[in-house]
Amino acid sequence: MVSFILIQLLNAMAYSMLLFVLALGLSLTFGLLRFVNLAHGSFFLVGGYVGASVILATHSFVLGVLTGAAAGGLIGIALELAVLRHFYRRSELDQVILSFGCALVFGDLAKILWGKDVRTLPVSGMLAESVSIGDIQFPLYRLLIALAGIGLLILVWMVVERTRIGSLVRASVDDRTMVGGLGFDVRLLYTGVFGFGALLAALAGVIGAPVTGLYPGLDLEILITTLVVIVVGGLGSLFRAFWAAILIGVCETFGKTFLPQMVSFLTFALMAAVLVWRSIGRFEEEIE
Amino acid sequence: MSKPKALVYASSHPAAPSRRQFLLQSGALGIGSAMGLPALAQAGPIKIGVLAPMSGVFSSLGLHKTNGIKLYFDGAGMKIANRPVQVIIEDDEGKPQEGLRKARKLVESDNVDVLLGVLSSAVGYAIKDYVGRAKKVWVTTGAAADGIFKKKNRSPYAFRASLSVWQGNQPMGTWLAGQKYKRVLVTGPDYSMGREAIDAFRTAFEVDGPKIEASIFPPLGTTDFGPYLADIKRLEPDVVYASFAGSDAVRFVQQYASYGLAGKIPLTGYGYLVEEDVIAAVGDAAKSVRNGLNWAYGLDTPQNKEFIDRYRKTYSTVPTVDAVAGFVGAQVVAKAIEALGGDVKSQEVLSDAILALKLDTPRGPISFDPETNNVIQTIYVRDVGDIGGALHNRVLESYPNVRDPGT
Repeated sequence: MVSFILIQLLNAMAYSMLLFVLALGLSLTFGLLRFVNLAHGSFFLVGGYVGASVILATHSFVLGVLTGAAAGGLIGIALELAVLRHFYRRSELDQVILSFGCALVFGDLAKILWGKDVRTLPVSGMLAESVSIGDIQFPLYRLLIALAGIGLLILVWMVVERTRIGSLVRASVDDRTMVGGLGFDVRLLYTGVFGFGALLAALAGVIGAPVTGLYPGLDLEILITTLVVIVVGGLGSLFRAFWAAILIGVCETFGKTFLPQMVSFLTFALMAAVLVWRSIGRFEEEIE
Repeated sequence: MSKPKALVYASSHPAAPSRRQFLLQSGALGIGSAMGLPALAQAGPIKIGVLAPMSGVFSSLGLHKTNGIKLYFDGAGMKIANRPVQVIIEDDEGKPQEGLRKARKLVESDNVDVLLGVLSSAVGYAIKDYVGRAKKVWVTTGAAADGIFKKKNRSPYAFRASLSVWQGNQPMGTWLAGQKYKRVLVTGPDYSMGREAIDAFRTAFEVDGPKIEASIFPPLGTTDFGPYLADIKRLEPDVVYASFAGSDAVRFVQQYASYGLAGKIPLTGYGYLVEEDVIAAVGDAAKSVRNGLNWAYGLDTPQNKEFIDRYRKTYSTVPTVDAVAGFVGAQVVAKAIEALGGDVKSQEVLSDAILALKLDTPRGPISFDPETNNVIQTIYVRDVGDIGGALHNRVLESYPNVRDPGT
């Protein structure tokens, strides 16, 4: 039983870290730009497809990861410059409709460029190895995904908390006008942050592709789960997003084993429970 | 050389010719036939309409099928009974509406003499319906769903030369029970084919063996089997029987190995779990997997060896069971028309000719069951091992004359 729980936890960790990296990007975008970007899942998918094509052509995993992430970042920047920045002052509904439309367009473009089949991205060489932990065997690649997620958490935390750019971002979240008044180009900052968020999503897409596969519809599926993570973890805290991702990942992974027909229900039930609990907490504050 | 049909015509013609005219005519005809010209009774080539998925999810399988069909007719010099053969291939995209549209085109515009092909069972259901109404003989090289060819919905125009899901899995049930495993876990994709395969296996296994211990059905299209494999490891069965196919099979077999289950819990399954194309994709992860199907690369007969040789030379790739299915389907059509001397005017006569066939194919001997029009054939229990330095399916045991009950 112990080894079973261990394997499932490791499975969950790998999946959770993909969710975390996505939630990170989305959280940054919403926290700073106040923009609801429903095209976030498309960055994940496109990054995955580009990375997969590069890996199949060059047989270099590293090159594929770099190109996929870069592609996502560039597409994000292009989208922001061309379309999204004109909508920052519009209502949330307008932003949702716009970004969802972009998601649909990207989805169709992906179908044209890469076809409608489910694509598998195989890992080869050292990455395909399995490690022995006690009496269980676990694919090395999934462990690496988990480690990459933790690594990114630490990296982004350090950038946000300890560097000048990070302090600029934090300041802009608090008071954009003041930062602009101090002479910084806030619009450039926004574009940069949005591009970084897209890059993170695309990175998750390439790294996750061997586990999730790549197919039309994946962009929206993963977006929905990411939104659940953000709702549960709340915006604004890297660590809360981290723990929320782990919670959802564990819930879904163990759910597949014990209650396979109810997995999606479990995820949304969890989200509903958290929302209710939070509003009760606020209620109590108001009463006091 | 069969008797020229003109003899029959001449004597039944209302204004019967004089003996001299008759002799001249049959003489001319005899010379004409000897020169290879088509008999007066039927002019033009024999047209064979082929439906296969050339694009979409099943395109690689469709390509093997059409390769197999072309290989057969090329080997016969593009002729049947001295009449030239024209093969018209149309893409059904693996979709019922598209398959129906292309079938109509082949039958009504191109006026084909017979329909061959179809891989997807969904398309198979649609075409079976259509050929009954259009009264055109159709020999399918795929469409394995049990429901398409049952006793109660038998049509004289539809034949299955490939296999039924029942045929592919039932003998494995019997064989595995004979291996005396106590605790068996079954798994497969959660849709009709996956479940039908497991049901056929289970019915046969539980006759002599114990009840199946546990079952796990991941949703169709699952890419991450991690949580399910952890569950299999927790339950610790003696053996696992799996009915995955296509890219599901590639991922399942790969991940089964990377979670360390391959050495510990023997994996067995429906032949498509580790067919030649899956072996090419997963390599060593498929080693020693025992499985059942109606052909094996390693089947040691001169006919099979010749087929494999020619296929590899012509297409520079290893044939799969789908290539064999195409080849055998073409063989069935060709031999039936040959038995009629090249006369395909009557679809009903052609249908009877197919029923009367007893053929030796690269898969072994086959014939057709008059109650269901499904093929009766040998099913092989295979294991994946070394043949000539590469991994292929080798024959462990054979179950001859396996007949789908059609109930």
